[in-house]
Formats: sequence, C-alpha cells, structure tokens
Amino acid sequence: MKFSQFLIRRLLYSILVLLGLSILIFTIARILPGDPARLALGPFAPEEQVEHLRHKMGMDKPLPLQYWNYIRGLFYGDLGLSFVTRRNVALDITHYLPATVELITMAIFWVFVIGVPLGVLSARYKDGWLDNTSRVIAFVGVSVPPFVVGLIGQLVFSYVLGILPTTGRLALLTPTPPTITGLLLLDSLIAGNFGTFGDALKHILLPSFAVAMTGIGQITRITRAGMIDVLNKDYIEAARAFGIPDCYVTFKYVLKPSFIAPMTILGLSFASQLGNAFLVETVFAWPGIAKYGIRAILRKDFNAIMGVVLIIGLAFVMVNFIVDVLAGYIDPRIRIQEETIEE
Amino acid sequence: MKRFSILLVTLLVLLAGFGCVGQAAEQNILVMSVNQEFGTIDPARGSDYTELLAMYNIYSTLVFPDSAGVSQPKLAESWTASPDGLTYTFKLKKGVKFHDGSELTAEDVKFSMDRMLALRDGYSWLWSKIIKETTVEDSYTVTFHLSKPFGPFVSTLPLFSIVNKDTILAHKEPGEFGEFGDYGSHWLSVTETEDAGSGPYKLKAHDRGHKIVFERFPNYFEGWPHGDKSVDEVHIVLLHENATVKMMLRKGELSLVDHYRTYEDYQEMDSYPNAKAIAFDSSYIVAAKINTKIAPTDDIHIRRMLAWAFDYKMVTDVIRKGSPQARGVIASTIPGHNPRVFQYHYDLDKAREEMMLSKYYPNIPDVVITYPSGTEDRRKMALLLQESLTKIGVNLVIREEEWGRITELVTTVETTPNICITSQTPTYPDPDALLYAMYHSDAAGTWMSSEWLQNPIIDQLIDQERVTVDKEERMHIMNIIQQIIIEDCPDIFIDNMVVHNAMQNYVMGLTWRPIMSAWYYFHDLWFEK
Repeated sequence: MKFSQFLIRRLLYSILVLLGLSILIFTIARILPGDPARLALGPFAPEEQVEHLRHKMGMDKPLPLQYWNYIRGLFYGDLGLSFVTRRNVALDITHYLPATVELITMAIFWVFVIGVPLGVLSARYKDGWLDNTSRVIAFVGVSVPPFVVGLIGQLVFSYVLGILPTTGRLALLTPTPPTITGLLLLDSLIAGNFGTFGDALKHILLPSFAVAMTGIGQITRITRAGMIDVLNKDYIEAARAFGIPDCYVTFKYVLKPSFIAPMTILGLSFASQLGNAFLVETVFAWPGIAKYGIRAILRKDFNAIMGVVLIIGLAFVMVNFIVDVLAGYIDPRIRIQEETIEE
Repeated sequence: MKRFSILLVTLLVLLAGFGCVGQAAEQNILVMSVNQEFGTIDPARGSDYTELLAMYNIYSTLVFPDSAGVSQPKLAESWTASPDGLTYTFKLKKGVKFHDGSELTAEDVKFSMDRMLALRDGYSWLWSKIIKETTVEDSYTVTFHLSKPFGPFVSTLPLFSIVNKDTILAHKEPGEFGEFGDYGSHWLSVTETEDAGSGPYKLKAHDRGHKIVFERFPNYFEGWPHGDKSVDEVHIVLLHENATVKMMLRKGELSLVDHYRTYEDYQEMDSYPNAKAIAFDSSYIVAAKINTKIAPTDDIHIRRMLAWAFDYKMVTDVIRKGSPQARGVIASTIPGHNPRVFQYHYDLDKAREEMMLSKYYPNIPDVVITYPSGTEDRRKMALLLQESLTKIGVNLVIREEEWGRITELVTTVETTPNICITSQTPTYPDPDALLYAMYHSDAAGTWMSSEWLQNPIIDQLIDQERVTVDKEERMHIMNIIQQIIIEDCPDIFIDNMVVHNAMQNYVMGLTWRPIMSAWYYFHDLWFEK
C-alpha cells in the first residue's frame, strides 16, 4: 500500500474511533450520579438559579441536540464551558495538558535510557548476575505502584537528603518563562533562561521517575525476551562468524528487529499515562490533565470529562499511527509484506 | 560509554549550577496548602472555600464578621436601617483605594450588586429575591431597597464583594447584558495577574491546578499594623496528599496547613520542633440527618430512639477528640445559639423505651444510613450507631456513597436514605442560614434539607424571623425554632467540629471567624522570627 493510502485509511479509522468514543463518553457522563449544576452552585442556591445554570449550559435540551451542539462546537475549538472554572474547557486543557505531556515525555525518556539498555544487557548476559539484578528491578517496578515510588522518593531525596524538591514544577520564587509550548523545560531553553531550566529539571526528576518505574520494568523484560529470541537465529550466528563486532551485532541485528514490541508498549504507555498519572500528579502537586480529569469526574463536570477523554483518545490514535509508521521503518519486512498483500 | 558519561556530567552540572534561582531579597512569604483548586476568583461567581478565601483577601466587603460572628464595619463607616426594614443606607469610608489606585465610591457598590444579581451565580441567591434596587445617594452613600424585610440582611453582606466598576468595564466583552457586555466575567475567568479588588492583597499569579499567589497591597485602607512583620506574599499551593503536606511543613517549605487534614496529622504536625497546631471551636456541626417522611424514621419515637442510641462520648473523646458535643443545630460560635436546648446522651434504656412506643414495634424495619465516601470519621460514626442499635435489636444498614450520588439521592423523599451523616456550617453568621436551608419546606431537596421536615409551624416561624428587623425579637423566635427542632428530632446533632490548622512557629495572628474561609484573612497574620 502506498503511504498516502495508508495515511488516508488511518485518518478515516481515527475519525470513526473518536466519534464512537465521544458518543460513549457523552452518554456515560450524563448518567453518572449527581446534578452538576447543583454541585457547582452548592446546596443553598434556589432551584431557579440551578435551572438558570442548567439552561445556560444547555442541559435542558434533548440529549441528541446537546450532542450535536457539542460536536459542532468542536470544529470551532469550543469544548464547552466548565461548571467548575466557568471558562472554556479548551482553555483549561491548554493549561493542564502540557504539564502532563512534559511529565510523561520525561518518563518515557527514563524508560528508554534505563529499560532498553537494561533489557539488552540482560539478554546479552543471560542468567548472569546482571540479568538476575535486572529481573528484581523489573519486578519491583511492575509491582510497586507509582505513587508509592513517588512518596518514597520524596522521603529519601527531598526530606532526608534534601537534594530534590518535594512538589511542583518550579520553586516558589523561580520566574516562570514566557509560555510558548507550556513545556517548562523547552520554554525556558527558548527564552535562554538556564536557571529556570535547571530548576524545572530538578522538579521533574522525581515525579517522572515515579511514573517511569512500571514502564522500566515492562520494557526491560520485553526487550530481553525479544532479544533472546533473535539471538538464537542463524543469521546472528552467521554475522558473528563473519567477524562483525559484537556491539554492532547486538544493536543493529538483534535489538532492531526485536524493538517492535517495546516500541509499541512505549507508545501505548505514553497515551495511557495522560489519564493514569493522576496519583503521581497528586503526590507531587503536579498541575496536569490527569488530575484535572479526575476532578471533572468527581464534580460531574460534563464538558471537562468529554474534553479530557477526547484528548486521551486522540493521543492513543496518534501514538498508534506513529508506532505503526516507525514499525514499518524499523522492520522493512512489515512494509514489504503489506505491499505484497496489496499486489 | 563515553557519550553516556558526558551526558551524565552535563546533567549534574545543570542540576547543581543552574537550579539555584529565586534567591529573592528577605520577604515574609506565607506558603499555605489547600486541598481544592481555585475554580474562579470572580467574587460574583465563587462559592466554595478556596474561592471565598481568594475573595476575602483580594476584595473588600461593606462589613466583615469578628470572632463572635458579629458584623463589623469594613468599607462601611456606618449604616442605618429604616424602621420597616425595607431600606439599608451605608456610608462608605473615604479614600479607599482599589489596586489600580482609583478610589472606591458608592457607584462601585451599586455596580457590584447589579453585576452580582445579573450574573445569577455564586451567592446571588442571597439577594435575588430581596433587593429591589440599589441607589447612589452621593459619592459615599449607597442605599439598598428591599422588596420585603429581611432580618439577616447585614449578616449576608460579608459575601458581597465590591469590584472596581471602571476596571471591569474596561475588560468587558460582548455579552447578554447590553452596555455592560459580559460584565467582565470572561476576563476575570482567564486573568492570571490582574483583579478588580481593593483588598489587602493583589493577585500576582494564578497557575491553575497548582498555586495562586497574592502580593501585599501597600495602600490598603486599613493599613498594616504589623509593619515589616506583615505577610508580603501568600503562595497557596494545591496539595491533596497528607504525607506530602507533613513533609513540607517539617522541612519548612509550608508555613500554614489548611483544616482538611486528619486529626492524627495535626497531632503529628504539632510534635514537630518547628511547627504548632492550633484548634478553633468552629461553626461546623456534624449531624446525622434523619428523613422524617419514610419508614421507619417517619415515627418520632424511632428518631428519638436513634438520638438516645448514639454514643456521643466515643466521638468527642476518640473519633474526633476535642470536639464538644453539639447542642442543637446552631454552633456555639454563632450569635443566636440557644445554650438551653435539650441535649441527648447515650442511654440504651431510653432508646429501648422509645423503640417500644413506636408504631413499628416489635418489627422495626431496617434503617439505612449513608455517608460520603472518603470520610473515615463518618464511617466510624455509622459503625458506632450500628453497634448500639444491634444491642436493642434494630438493624442498621450502612451504605457508603459518592458525594455526587448523595446529592442526587436526596432530591426526592423516596430515594433519600433514612439517615445521612454530613457536616454543615452557616453561609453567613446568622442562625437563619441553617434554619432556612435545613428546615424550610421551600428549601427541600438538597443535601442540607434531607430531613424533609416540612413542618408548617417551623415554616411559619422561619418566615416570621426573616421579616423581623428587631434583633432581639428575631433571636427569640430562633430560640423557639431550635427548641421545636430538638423535640421533633429530625437530626442527631453529634459534635461541634473543632477546626485545626498547623503552621510554622513564627506564624502569628490566625483569627477565627465563624463563616467559611473568613479566618484565612492574611491581613491578620504576621511573622515573629
């Protein structure tokens, strides 16, 4: 299949998926218990004031019409008003999303630089002390909840050793760089403010590592398993027999073909953490979209729930697409196989 | 390996060298924790505890309650009420400045009330059926014309903040309010560094979901009696996790901890060498609200049985140690509390006697009790009551529910559980705030009124006290209401919550005021370092 055809097909599938997701979440959000207008105004507000807010938020219209108005608004970037903040959910999302994106990007970085090499070394020195140690690290990473890792990290590095901050994205008196992307690390570099960059880096270390622990455990084991499988192939033995350096064999001929599964996991992990990182965000007072989403559910803030779920859905769709493209790039057999089937 | 070493060294240099920022000149910076986000800082829209906290510090009000809940002049120099209670005229202090330097006048007061009523949000319901018109007599005199007498009117005014008319209109956007556009509501919902207030603090920064920062307004009209010791900046940080809060207080990163942590947390924080915990007798009452319209709690004898069967001492001595048992629906810190109303105590014999008088005896149907999920102390209270009732052969079914679910259940009589354990505090420092919201038939259908009392005598008495202007006469009527409530027993009044705060030893001046968040008035505070 040509790449353009692949792109169009994936785009159409994505739209269908997001449409289905929007209908599902729209319905579920409205059958959750609680009256959001009453929750927003409190118990003392008279019924007519509650009715007024319901009317203002369009809740008195038939459900299909509410849904249609919502979808129409999406095309103008209007995600509706939040019951809690009384402002457009799109504005709220542009504020909260970058914080979580930055956090999980950093977490994926840790997973990549720690998990993958650990998996490679475990496969290379299979059943040795390094393999056994990485096995323990992996099990701990998968078993211990991220927020527990976060709390222990705070206790050790922040309280006992005092070398890392406890909470937040920046120290109290650190000036916030001009907002360009909302990613503090990037924005501070763009502004040439290296002091703020260093402070932001210090603040993101602990929470990103807490989020990364589970992924490190998973990627280590998956990389190891994939590599052991490839190491037993004839062409590897042939490569070694031809005198190709061990390092080259390991990274080009072994790791590359076995990296499809870890890459897929990394991609899915990125998208899922947009919603799942809320406990770590809570522990570290990280103003991210995961925490915003939980607050929206608890306060039955319809539009905010829809906005967050659609963003996470979009992230999954995009990540899946990128992973598929990268898979074809890393393993040409996938591209050739697809082209052969098409013919 | 070489590349990795270079990367590691670079990282360490960045961390060590470039992380050292923000070493500002010596300032008194108060860092406070809260467990709830600031939804809005628009004083015409806010209604929860963090929004009120912002309101009281950024904006000013005509009156403000003291520790006893009595409204004291603030922006108002004085006020008078007409004998028929239909007009209230306020004389404003001269020379009060907004944060932009302009003077606060009667025009701003009128504009603020008109804006509040037009937006129909926040606490506008307090005045929407009461205020007919607001008029400006002169630059410093404003009159509220009421459509009917409203006894607690002045007590409600701490919830009415004055905004800068010129600033609001300078930021207005197209909207439904004619020449006033949207009344600046969009601007106030998005601004992160500006406000329209005259309060002791200005908005400096608002990082939503993380923190809000106030900075001292040097020209605040009440001055700064503590001089250089006053708080220069307030950083209010959103922290849900109690372990994190304790750690930060111990490290000195937090100056003041909010009142939503557990009793054990405050005990622990009090033991830190650098910190202390203080307690206030609050205006919060914890009550088990009884549905008086469904079986078996529609029978007064069953309700009295429940009141006699509750072990209050276990609550005041163990579960919520230090909180005194509640005496009636009005806390002792609110003017109008009747200290002579009858107070139940734990007595299973009396509970049994009441049970035997019930029309349902000997086959008492199951009683269903619910409480909001995540409230450990209320779960324990439910278990306490269950244990007691088991001893006299009554089955109590415990159901933990999400708060949203509870607010939905209580909208009809049939779905409201027999008992619901909640806490309540008056919106304004007057018994009317609770009596009306809990017991008047017009207020039925909310979690505050899950008793479904619908007693015409109570309705009549409440209506009467609301239109009575004479203070003593009002108090007399409200005393009678409190006594009737005790006799009818629509609630088990459990305890008068003690509110705790923890803070660094050098933080001084936190002063209790009996309405939500009014004690977080940072102008009171100073540092003794």
